Amino acid sequence: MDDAIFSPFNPKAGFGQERSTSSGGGDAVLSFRHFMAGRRNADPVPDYSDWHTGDVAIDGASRDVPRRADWQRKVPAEVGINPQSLKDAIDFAIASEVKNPRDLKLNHYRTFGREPSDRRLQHLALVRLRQWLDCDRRAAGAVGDRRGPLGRRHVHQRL
Amino acid sequence: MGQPAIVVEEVDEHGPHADGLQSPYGFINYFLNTDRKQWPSAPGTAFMHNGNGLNMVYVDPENELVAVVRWIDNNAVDGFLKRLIAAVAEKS
Repeated sequence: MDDAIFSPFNPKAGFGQERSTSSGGGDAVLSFRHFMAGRRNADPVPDYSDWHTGDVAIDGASRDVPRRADWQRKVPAEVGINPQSLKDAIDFAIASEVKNPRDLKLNHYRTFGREPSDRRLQHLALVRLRQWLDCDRRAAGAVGDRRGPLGRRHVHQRL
Repeated sequence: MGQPAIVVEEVDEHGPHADGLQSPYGFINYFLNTDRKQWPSAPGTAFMHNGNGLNMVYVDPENELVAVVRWIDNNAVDGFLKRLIAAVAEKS
């Protein structure tokens, strides 16, 4: 397990396909399931296998859920929920609505897209990519000569 | 018949817990309430799928509860859950 490489992006290893490390030796590509199984420790993991939500049997033969229009609609009182208390919760959520832009991309760059480690990780990725491409020097060729050292934009082009 | 559910085999097998990660983080996009640190008003078994916004899908097996909330302030999530669970707990 120790010398195994997990790569969900490796075209040779589809999800659900398990490859034995004993037969080939050296680097082996494992399935995601195999990878997760190796990460499990002895801590008890809650058993969620008997969850049932309406017509959905998580661990049963059926993996179907009702169509969107087929979901039952019930008022709070029908299921024993205090309508006023539920309204209080909903009102609280509405009153706590964020003022962020509804454009998720814009919102992303204004919030956790600006985390301090963002640029540092970007720089680290750039350094690693330069090493991997062996392009720390000026790239060979006429086009490369004009471009100069490999910069962020060129890395994006290569990706 | 309905549409096929999006259920990943590995999640079935292991539950939402991915070991070795910081406590709020679970398998893939599961946010856990380990030791009720993340949302003190909710049970420790509850978990969420959170997205930018904050857009959240709250799952609470103990209270048989699933709640979807969009564009709520992250700091108000626990207050909302407190009220929501109170409403459900008042079941007659």
